[in-house]
Amino acid sequence: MHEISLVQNLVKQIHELAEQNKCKRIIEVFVEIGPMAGVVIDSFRFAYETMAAEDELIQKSKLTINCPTNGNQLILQKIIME
Amino acid sequence: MCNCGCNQEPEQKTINVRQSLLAANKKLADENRLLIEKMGALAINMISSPGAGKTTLLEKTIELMDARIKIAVIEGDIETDRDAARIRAKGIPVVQITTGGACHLDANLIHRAIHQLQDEYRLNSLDLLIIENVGNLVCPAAFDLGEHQRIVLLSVPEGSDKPAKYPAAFAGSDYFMITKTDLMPYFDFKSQEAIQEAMQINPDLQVMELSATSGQGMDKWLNTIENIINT
Repeated sequence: MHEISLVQNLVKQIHELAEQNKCKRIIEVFVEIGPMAGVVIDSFRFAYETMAAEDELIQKSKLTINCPTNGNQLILQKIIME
Repeated sequence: MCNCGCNQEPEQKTINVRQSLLAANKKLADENRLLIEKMGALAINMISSPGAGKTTLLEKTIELMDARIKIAVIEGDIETDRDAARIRAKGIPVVQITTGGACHLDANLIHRAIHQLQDEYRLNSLDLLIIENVGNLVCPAAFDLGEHQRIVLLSVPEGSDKPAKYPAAFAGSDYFMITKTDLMPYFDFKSQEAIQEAMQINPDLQVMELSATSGQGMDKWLNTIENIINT
């Protein structure tokens, strides 16, 4: 259930980075979520899609989630934007 | 596509970030830690599922320690201020956070609660701040609140298989406390299994077993608190 607040944080970070880089559209977002992070990947993706539907900046973006085999990391790796 | 009519593709940029999704929370948590230390205190974050006995343990702890050290409490719940009322009845400064649905506390909520404690109770000096998280063995594990030590509680009726089933809560904690040990004779709880599986997840966990009702094991817990605040 906390996936929603994690995605809210992510979207906030994306907006800040887009503004810093003067970009208007996000193409792809890469995050890394370790198996011990306690995050349900499907819920995370669902929360992202729900927020993206109402957010022009990320509306058409693709979310790529990398899942390493161990660790509790929860990292925004990179963003492709234009 | 650029839509200004120049027919040029906008420039694509790849921004490497490598930043935790919880970076904003972590930053505030570090500020909270400083704020708590400035008051002379250390903070403990208590995590467990609902009904594991967090509030009862707190009540007993206050009864046994209040004369020796200055304690304040931040209570997290989804609804009601019943837990805060129980702590307030002990004459301890307490702030209730009702999350209104959210399943965990975060550093921002704690930041406001610390200021509220300072304002409402004119609290400038303190030995121990205990944060009772929302009853949930999953979500609170991800959020650093600014605590110095984290304790995960597991009560005997919940069953000894919980560390293996909810690993994140155990991976991120400093102490593992088995509560309601007075109920051992009535439940099929295997302490060794729970401890072994928790230690597999986190070999640094310090284990305690106690019953706030019978008082068994409370000595070790009180000593642990003394050790925590004297470090």
